[in-house]
Amino acid sequence: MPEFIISPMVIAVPVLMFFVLIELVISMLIGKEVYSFQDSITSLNIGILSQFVNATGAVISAFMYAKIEAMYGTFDWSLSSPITWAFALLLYDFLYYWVHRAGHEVNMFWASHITHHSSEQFNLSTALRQASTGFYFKWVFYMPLAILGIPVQVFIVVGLIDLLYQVWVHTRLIGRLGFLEWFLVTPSNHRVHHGTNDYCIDKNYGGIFSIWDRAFNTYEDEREEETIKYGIKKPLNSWNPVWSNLHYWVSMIRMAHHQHSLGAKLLCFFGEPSWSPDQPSNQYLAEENDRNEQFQDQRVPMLAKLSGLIVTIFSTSLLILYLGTRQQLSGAAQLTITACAVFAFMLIGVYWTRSGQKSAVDKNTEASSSPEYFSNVKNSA
Amino acid sequence: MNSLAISDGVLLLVTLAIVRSLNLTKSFRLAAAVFASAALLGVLRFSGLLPLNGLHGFFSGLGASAAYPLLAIGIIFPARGIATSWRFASIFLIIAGALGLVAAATNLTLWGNIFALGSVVTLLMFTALKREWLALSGSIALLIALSLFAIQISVPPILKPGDFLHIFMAIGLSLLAIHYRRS
Repeated sequence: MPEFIISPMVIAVPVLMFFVLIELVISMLIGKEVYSFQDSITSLNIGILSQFVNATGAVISAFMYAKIEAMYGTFDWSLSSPITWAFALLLYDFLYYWVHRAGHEVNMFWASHITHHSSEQFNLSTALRQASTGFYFKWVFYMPLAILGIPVQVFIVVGLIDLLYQVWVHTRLIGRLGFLEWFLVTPSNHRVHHGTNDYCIDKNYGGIFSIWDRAFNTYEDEREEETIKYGIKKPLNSWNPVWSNLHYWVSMIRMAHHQHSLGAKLLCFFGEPSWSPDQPSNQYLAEENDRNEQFQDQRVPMLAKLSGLIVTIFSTSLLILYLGTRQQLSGAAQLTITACAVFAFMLIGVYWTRSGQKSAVDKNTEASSSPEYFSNVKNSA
Repeated sequence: MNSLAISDGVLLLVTLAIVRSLNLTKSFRLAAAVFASAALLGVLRFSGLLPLNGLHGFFSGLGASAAYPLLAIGIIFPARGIATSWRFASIFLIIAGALGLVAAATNLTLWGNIFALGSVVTLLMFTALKREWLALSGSIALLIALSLFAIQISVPPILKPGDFLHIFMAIGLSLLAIHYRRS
């Protein structure tokens, strides 16, 4: 029996879930609807899935960091000095700004980061909706820390601080925070970041400090007179965590396949997400042509909801067990557990999406056979 | 002050002039900025003023694995995004640099050398086919720089292997810059 090791992530997973629960209860108490069942459970499942996959990705990143630090590390930093930690956190946050900006402004990186933005809700569960495919490019942006010789332990801790700080800013329950808005990332300015309104696009990339946004002209204040619409321009319209990670990759590869010149093919990967070729295949990316308002309101049968909840609770427990024992498991065992989780999430995602669509069709059929439907059609004609 | 600091100083002046030249493509100027960073760190290191060996090693590696290919691609495709936009030139530099880092971390020590040599040979063939004599001379100078450094030729006690690399790189980049700025 492998020994269970309590790592920071083992503690973080249940604590974060608990925070989600607290926000849910508070929102119910004050009568502000910020959660929808399917969306939130999907966010949690996407988060759990990313932890299964990124557990390996994080090891690769840490390995690369340690190697580069050993090869090129220029200065010696004392672990006991507060200057080391403060400098590392500040530099990490500055580099995070650029990772995040690249994640929004380069198609190939957006293909990963879009997962985090695919929720049309904005609450603490959205913070946990993290991509499973992000680790492949993020590590390289943090290499300046390694080249300056910041020890790998410091890199991991400040990375965790930066990540955990960003959880609480995903809420609609906290308003503006006065002077803190000037230099910190807050719920208010992060709401702007998640908006699809024109003024929100490509704004507020900061992790902890918003000073980087102010310095590089990407800062935007929340506008009280304009309600923010959350999500992405071309809605995901799926509860499938695996698809939410892959849909943009598929679209991007399809679009590149339809291009005739190498330049256009490369632009599909390295252009901005708003770029689209002047031909019909531009239907694949960044359009606002098929927003399905009904999708979010679909009523999934109670049995489907219950099964989703069970899968989420079960996979959370499995994830905690996995994170606590992973180092002692063989590669095959790790792969098997991850594959089981992926399969379970896919099943529940497909089941929810289909049962939701079916109930929507039933609802439409029911509505279209009613006398009110015909009178409405007649009036609108 | 030793000869390496002086020759790196010469390379620094040439690359800084290229970085400042608005008549050259952005890829050329960005590649020159990487070489300039390495040269500046070289001057500081070899003069004993500020020996940041790790940082110098990193920028030299970045120059070999990313700046040389960027320079060559920008010259061969001067109208493409990679040559005309900072965005695409930077993306190329980051991706090529990342591959170089992976190679370094996995002990593929020849990676940078192969990319630098491959880029210069490609540039040489391109300029020869186009009969651009000044640029061809520049490419030959770059090839000499890399070859002499690879076989570690020195003229003791005056010149070290690195001096040949710095001096011929400075000559090669100057000739390329003069040709492509003029045309």
